[in-house]
Amino acid sequence: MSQAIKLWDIHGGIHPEENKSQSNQLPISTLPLPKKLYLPLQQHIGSPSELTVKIGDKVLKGQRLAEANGFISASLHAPTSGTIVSIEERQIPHASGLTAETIEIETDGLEQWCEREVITDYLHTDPIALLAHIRNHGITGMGGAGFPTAVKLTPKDDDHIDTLIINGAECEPYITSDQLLMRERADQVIDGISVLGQILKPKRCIIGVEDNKLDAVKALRDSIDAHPKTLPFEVKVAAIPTKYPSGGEKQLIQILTGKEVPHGSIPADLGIVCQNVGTVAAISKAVLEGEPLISRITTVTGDAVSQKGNFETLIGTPIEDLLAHCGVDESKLFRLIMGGPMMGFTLHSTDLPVIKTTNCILAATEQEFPNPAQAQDCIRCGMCAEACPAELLPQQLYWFSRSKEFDKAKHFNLFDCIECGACSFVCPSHIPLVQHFRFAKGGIRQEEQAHIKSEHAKMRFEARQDRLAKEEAEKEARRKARADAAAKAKAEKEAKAKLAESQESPTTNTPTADASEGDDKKAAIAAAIARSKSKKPASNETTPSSVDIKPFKVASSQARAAHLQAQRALNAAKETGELSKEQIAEQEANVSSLKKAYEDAKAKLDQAKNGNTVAPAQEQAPSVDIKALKVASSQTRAAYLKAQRAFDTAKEAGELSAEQLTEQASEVSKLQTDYENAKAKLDAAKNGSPTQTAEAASSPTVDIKALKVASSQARAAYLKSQRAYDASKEDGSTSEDELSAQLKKVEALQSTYEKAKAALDDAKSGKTPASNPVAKEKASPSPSETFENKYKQVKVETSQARAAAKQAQKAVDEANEQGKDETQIKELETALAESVQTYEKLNSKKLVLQEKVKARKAVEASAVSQPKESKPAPETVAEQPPAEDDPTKKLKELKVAASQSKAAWRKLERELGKAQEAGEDTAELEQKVSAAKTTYEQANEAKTTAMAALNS
Amino acid sequence: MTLLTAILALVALALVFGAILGFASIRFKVEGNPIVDQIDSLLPQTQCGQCSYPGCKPYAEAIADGEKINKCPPGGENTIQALADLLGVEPEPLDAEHGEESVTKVAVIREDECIGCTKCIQACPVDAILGAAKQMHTVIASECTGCDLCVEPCPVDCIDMVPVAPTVQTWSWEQPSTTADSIAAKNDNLIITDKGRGAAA
Amino acid sequence: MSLLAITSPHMNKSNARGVGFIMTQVVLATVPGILAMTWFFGWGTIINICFALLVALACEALVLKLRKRPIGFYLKDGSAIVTALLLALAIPPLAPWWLTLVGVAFAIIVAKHMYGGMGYNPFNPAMVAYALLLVSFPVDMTQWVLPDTAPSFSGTFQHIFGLAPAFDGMTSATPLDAFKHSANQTLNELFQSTPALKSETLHAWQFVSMAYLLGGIYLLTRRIYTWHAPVGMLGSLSVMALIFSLYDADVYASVSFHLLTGATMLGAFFIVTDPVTTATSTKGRLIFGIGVGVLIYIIRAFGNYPDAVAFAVLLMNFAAPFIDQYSQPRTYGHKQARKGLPKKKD
Ligand code: SF4
Ligand code: SF4
Ligand code: SF4
Ligand code: SF4
Repeated sequence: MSQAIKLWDIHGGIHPEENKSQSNQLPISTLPLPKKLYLPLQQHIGSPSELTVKIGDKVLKGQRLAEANGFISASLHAPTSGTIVSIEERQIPHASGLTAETIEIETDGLEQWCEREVITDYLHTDPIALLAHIRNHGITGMGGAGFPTAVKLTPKDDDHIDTLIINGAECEPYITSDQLLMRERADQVIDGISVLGQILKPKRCIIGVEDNKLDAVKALRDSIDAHPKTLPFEVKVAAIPTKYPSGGEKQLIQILTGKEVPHGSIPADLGIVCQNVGTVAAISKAVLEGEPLISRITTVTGDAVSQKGNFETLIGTPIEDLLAHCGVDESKLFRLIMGGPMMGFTLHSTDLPVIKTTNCILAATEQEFPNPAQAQDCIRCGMCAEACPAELLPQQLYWFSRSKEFDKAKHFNLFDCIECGACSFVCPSHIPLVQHFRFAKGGIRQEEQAHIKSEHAKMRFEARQDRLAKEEAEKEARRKARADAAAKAKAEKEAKAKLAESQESPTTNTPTADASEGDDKKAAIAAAIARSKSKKPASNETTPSSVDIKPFKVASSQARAAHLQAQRALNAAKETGELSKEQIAEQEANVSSLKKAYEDAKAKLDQAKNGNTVAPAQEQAPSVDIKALKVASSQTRAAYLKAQRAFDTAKEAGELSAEQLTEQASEVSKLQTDYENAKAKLDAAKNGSPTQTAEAASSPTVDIKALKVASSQARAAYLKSQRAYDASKEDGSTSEDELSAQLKKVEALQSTYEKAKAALDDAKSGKTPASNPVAKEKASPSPSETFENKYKQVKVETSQARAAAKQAQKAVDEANEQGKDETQIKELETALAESVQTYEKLNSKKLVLQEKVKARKAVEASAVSQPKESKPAPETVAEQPPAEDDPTKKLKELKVAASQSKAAWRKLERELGKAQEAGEDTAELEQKVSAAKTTYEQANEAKTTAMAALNS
Repeated sequence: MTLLTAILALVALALVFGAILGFASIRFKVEGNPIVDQIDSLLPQTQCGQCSYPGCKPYAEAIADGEKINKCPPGGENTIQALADLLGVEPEPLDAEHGEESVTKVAVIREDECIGCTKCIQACPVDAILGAAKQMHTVIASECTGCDLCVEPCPVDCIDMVPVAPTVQTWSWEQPSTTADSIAAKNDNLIITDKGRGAAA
Repeated sequence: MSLLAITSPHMNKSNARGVGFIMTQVVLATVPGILAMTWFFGWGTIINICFALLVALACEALVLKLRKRPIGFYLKDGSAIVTALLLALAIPPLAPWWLTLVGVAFAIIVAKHMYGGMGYNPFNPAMVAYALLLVSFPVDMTQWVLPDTAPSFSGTFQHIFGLAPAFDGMTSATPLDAFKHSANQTLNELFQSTPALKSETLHAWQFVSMAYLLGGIYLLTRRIYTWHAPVGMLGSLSVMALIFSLYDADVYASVSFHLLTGATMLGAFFIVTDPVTTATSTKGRLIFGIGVGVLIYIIRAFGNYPDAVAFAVLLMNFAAPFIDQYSQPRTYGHKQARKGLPKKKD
């Protein structure tokens, strides 16, 4: 079987001292069972395995601990029986010294096997089944990076494997594990080859062994001769010249076949599969003995150990144990290398496990591998290029890597560098070329990654922009559609109103007839009311229901509003003295008619109410009306807002005369009333909808709401006019008369506001007694809700106040920056202080409310668990101390408070820092900071106490 | 007369070569993306606005209109170099006014402090934050570009920018120090070891 | 126990074969040449070399100090020594001391350190200095003593350092020089009439050349450099000489005359092989060598200067980066070698 095989040469290569004789003298021996085994979940290339066990599990030898996760992945098995004591992040044997998830097994010394699956008749087994078997037994490449073997053996459809190459070159100095394997277990290797033959069906197989291992060559040849039956193809052993790095996969392929693996493809594209002898032996163990990859032969060598040799080592064995077994002299140990001296990496400690790829542990002394000399400048001697097996120009790549010209390095084939280290080995300037290349490769990968990420970010950013634009467009479209619909509805309503007029419905006539100013909208609204009225009885004839009340109410309030408005207008007109007598008289008539209308409406409402008390709660209400009302409401609102805006701009521009302004203002207020009316109606309609069961209770709320709105509007109007007045006073361009007129107006508005407010207060206070307790209980499913509502409201107010404070702060800052004069700043500052005060007040209120809400909730929660009858009265509930109710919630609140105050403090500190940098006066800021700090500390303390309390 | 001939000859030559050049410029015109897209593809797309433009694209447009290329801190020297290469101008050091180049960071929300105000969502240019009103929010780390924009709006200051820790997959060797470096560092022990790994245990 | 964390490879040949080792080998390889020069042209060569070394080390130390570099670290690499040695071998043995001083100082300070020092200089410092001297002091640079007429050691020493008046035995030219200024004679007449072209003189030059060749072969066997540049240079020079001498043997000198006179051998084995300033790949070095050979012949035959090694090398130094772009080796797994720089992304 030993006819000459044609060999080719590779470019470059080096001849380092072999140093193999230290470790290849003794036969393979077995290590005593370690107490603990550490198995990182990722010992292979690809995705980490997925755990199938948990802490505390008892595992048997060979039992699967983790399974392959994805195509390129491998499973992991228990090297012996024992207990899983932990699964945690531990440092792994990797050049980076980083950590990864690791299973820790406490061995029990029993070596109990789990059930093993053996395929003795593999020559008649489906290759797919064999592949699955290999995959299930966690076999990965044992010579190099640990690529999952099953993946490598799964050919792409169109690849027909022609040559199987078995890599027994072991070209790295010092390592002898493959040599010993081939010498002592040649049969295992040959069996493995025949399994591979069954899977791949190659035409021939070449085992490449360097000619410094002739004992291994002989053992293999003998074994081949002894196995003629299981090898249906030609198997040859090639003794190749000893030269580093002939054991590189690509190099070995070149030596044995003369072919080069094209850049960017894999050997399988050439019809070649290359496997390490260790892997092949592991395959035969897995198939014939059912033993997964749980142990391997590891060389322990280097001058720091006294007993150099090869050991059958369980995966996961701590290197400490291995070294101790070999008699390590720790004082001499200087460099601890996993792998060979050319491509291995240094370990950071001995507290790391042997993994599937650990072919050698090299414990070197300082004499053996001294510190590298300081790198000199490259003299471009070209020795590296001569040594490079990939025919690169390392010195050129070095320049590019050094100056981070990654694109050029890539252009000159940096990624064809196999990191063999031959160039560094020969470089007379001691340049760590390989590290430069590794750095450059990492840099390029990072750049590519960053580019992908930036592209992705761009996509997402653009998607977001699109989305926002679309949302905007949709909103716009909806607005438009609404406007269109409203316009249509209006037309319809007008028509209907005309119809209604002709029908002379008495209720509708009252307001419309009186509001004879020709206001279309009012008419339209009235028409809507009329419609709803005429509809409701139609659809709901059997019940003279409470629903009927609504329109009355609405009408009544509408009438009232109209009346008030007219009254106001009249007053204003009177005061300003702008209008002629006749006009005033006319208006007065108008007002009184409106008043009458209002009274009418009210009377009707009362009537309806009275009629309603006996009536059962009404369940049905036409939602159509609500819609219509909604449309009307939003329409009027839009009109109002538009007018308001127009008014504001006009005012600002100062173009219009006072009269025009007043005109516009009245227009605006008219529209506003319209809107309010519409809204009120809408609310009313809503309240009348079937979801509401206790309208008696809810109606005051509505009123309150309306009143609130009115009040705030009034306030806004008042403030606005006040401002306008101030402004005009200041610039002094307006005449005295005008000013006084304005002032009066302001006063009027103020009183309006006050009235509105009083009304609101009244309504509020009147609410509780007015509402039927029973109804209330029904209406509010939980008593806490009211508090919650209140709380929410206060919260909103608080945040508003905070925003105001922030704004004020900003204003102050800006003013400071712009160097405005001091009085202005002072004013602003007082404003700021005020707003801060408001905020604080509100905040404290909020907190109180919060507590209350919590208390309520807690009580409710406890109440729910109790029988319903014993539901406690809200008053008693409120008395309960809130803190005890829900400590966790409280804690959370406290946490929020603490972090908020912390944030405030930090922000202030940042500001202080900035100010200090800018060399500004910082005394005030410092004070603020310390204040904020104390606040924070207090909050924090509260938090901690709460936490402690909770814990205890 | 000779003078005239010379002038005529030169003029004729100039015309001929001008025509050739003009033809070449049309015939052999390099087709490519519009310059703005090319610039944009070199920018890191963090959308952080540190360049004082409202995003990477606007800055790309500004560069195309002659703005300086050294205003993008997240991109740092590499981006400046790439832009300089693309535009054929001299690279300049990063303009410190717009910030300094720093390691890649990712936003992390301290979730138990989040009050669910959604402010950060509105700030994030790449929709990397998940959450709903009043619910705890969280950052999808793989989508976060580390632009920092969500930190400021958070009312409780519960967003941290943490440097992305290297994993076994992303880790790579440091650039070895060169002679010049070690001299610059006034390092007596002129030994090249891997700086990134620190002292071994 | 503290473990060293360091990148592979962990074995290193360069501890034994560092830059210092290479420079030592080069110095060793010049020994036969030095001996031969001394034998024929007297002690002047040795005195020049010693003086040049002193100047070189002083200049190097001075510049390193100015550049705030570790002096010992860089002096140890021996590159200044080699530069000085080569320059001293190239100038006439009886050249006055200031010629050496100016040349060496210029080589070290300007040609080497001003371009960034060891490993960064684009032009061969020794040749830059040689060209400078030849252009500035043409007379002093061409005063070669006739073989076997050199004065005694002390006489030479006094001559070099200007302590004694010039003495008579000087010839005015090297053989190449004589050949250059021989316009109207046939070769035969020329060889008869010119003392510089007498057979003893030629014999001395041939001997010196053979000594350099010997040193070169030693360096090749020690794998200090590859054969590409020297063979390229000698080959192309021979081919050029052969073509022209076949064309008209009366006007153009023979191949052996070109190979064995002047600085041809010194250039081939000690100058074009300077790694720093040649092309990078072996292919590139072959091209570089061929270029130098062709240029040498052209300048010798048609130019104004008698010897051309310095100019040819400097001209090719210019071209080295360009050669690099187009002489990349074909990397494993690639069908073609890379050419030129990467294209800009678009
Ligand atoms: S490490 Fe890379 S560049 Fe150096 S010799 Fe090996 S393949 Fe060539
Ligand atoms: S072996 Fe070292 S000194 Fe020589 S060319 Fe390569 S990198 Fe430069
Ligand atoms: S999460 Fe924050 S840092 Fe990350 S991309 Fe969004 S806004 Fe920027
Ligand atoms: S801004 Fe802060 S508090 Fe608001 S949702 Fe985001 S992380 Fe939570």
